[in-house]
Amino acid sequence: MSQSPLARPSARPPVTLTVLAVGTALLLLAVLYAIFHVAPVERQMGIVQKIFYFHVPSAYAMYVGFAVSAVSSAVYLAKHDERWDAFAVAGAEVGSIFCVIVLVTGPLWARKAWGTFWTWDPRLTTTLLAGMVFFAYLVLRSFGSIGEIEKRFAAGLAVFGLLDLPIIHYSVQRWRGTHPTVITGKGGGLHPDMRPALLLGFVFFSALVALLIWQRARVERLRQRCEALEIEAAERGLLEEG
Amino acid sequence: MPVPAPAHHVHDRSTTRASARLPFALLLAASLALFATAAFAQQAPAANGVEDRAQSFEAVTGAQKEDVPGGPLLVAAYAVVWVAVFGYVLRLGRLHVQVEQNLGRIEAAVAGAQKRASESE
Repeated sequence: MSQSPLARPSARPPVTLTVLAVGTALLLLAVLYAIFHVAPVERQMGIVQKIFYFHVPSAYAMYVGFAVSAVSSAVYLAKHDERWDAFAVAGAEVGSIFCVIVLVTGPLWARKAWGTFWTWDPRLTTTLLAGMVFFAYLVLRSFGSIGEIEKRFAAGLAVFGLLDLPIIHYSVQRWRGTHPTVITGKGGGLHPDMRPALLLGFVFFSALVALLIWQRARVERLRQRCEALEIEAAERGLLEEG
Repeated sequence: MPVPAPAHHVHDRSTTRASARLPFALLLAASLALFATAAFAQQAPAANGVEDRAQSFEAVTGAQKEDVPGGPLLVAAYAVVWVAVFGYVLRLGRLHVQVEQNLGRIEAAVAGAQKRASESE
């Protein structure tokens, strides 16, 4: 770190972050309107098809979160810069939240579509695998003030997790499964009135994932500086024991 | 024991911060663009030309009859989304406050120690 840990980090959020937060809130209203007022009810699935407008963008947000974590981890392994480590933690945490959303909303949809909550479909299985890899990363990182070795091991785990992301995406093409392939361009696709809701869903979740990763990375940077300050002050004998 | 103030870091902090954030912003933008493209990627045709899974969504026409009620499933799914997102935002806020308090505590301890050291000299 180039900055002394004794320098007070700024606690005030940047204007861009505030604008992004307000924009995301407005997008939420727009996407809910599009889902429940613009998009028609689907012929086969009925009203439960409206899960689709959050389920698919959540999966996309999960990809983004995990990719940010893995790439930041790779850079951290190369440069040993704590800023990249903060983004790796943020990406893994936010990606995991969206992974949970995908893995819960998907089975609720499946109950209606397939008559069962879960099946070992290639896409479902590989998504669960990615979730487990990044949950393991978070468990490893949750042990408080971990050392450099543990951080590097966790970073390696995140990079390993990245390998699973293209497998998730292409699993519906390479293996015969039951997961729908509506927006891949092969089948009949979406009814034209359903497209705005999905498009807004993607925009909303893009803004949301960027907002959450950014804010989580800021907090992690603050925590890192707090930890460094504590160590430096203790080394100088400025803090009382205990 | 006095602590020297790191004043030389203060001058161009805003410029340094802006340039330091650039790689992270580029990474985030690249990830968004990459996966947006992937999400709409074209699928290769099936080997036997027969699909046994949903490939399209069509709007309903006429009266609707459902064997499995979709309402509770839809409500449950949206509840999960909002509980997860707002729960995480709440947790993030609490973590921020906690770190801020910790930082304040350490700074107060450092300031107190510096004061005592300067008084004893």
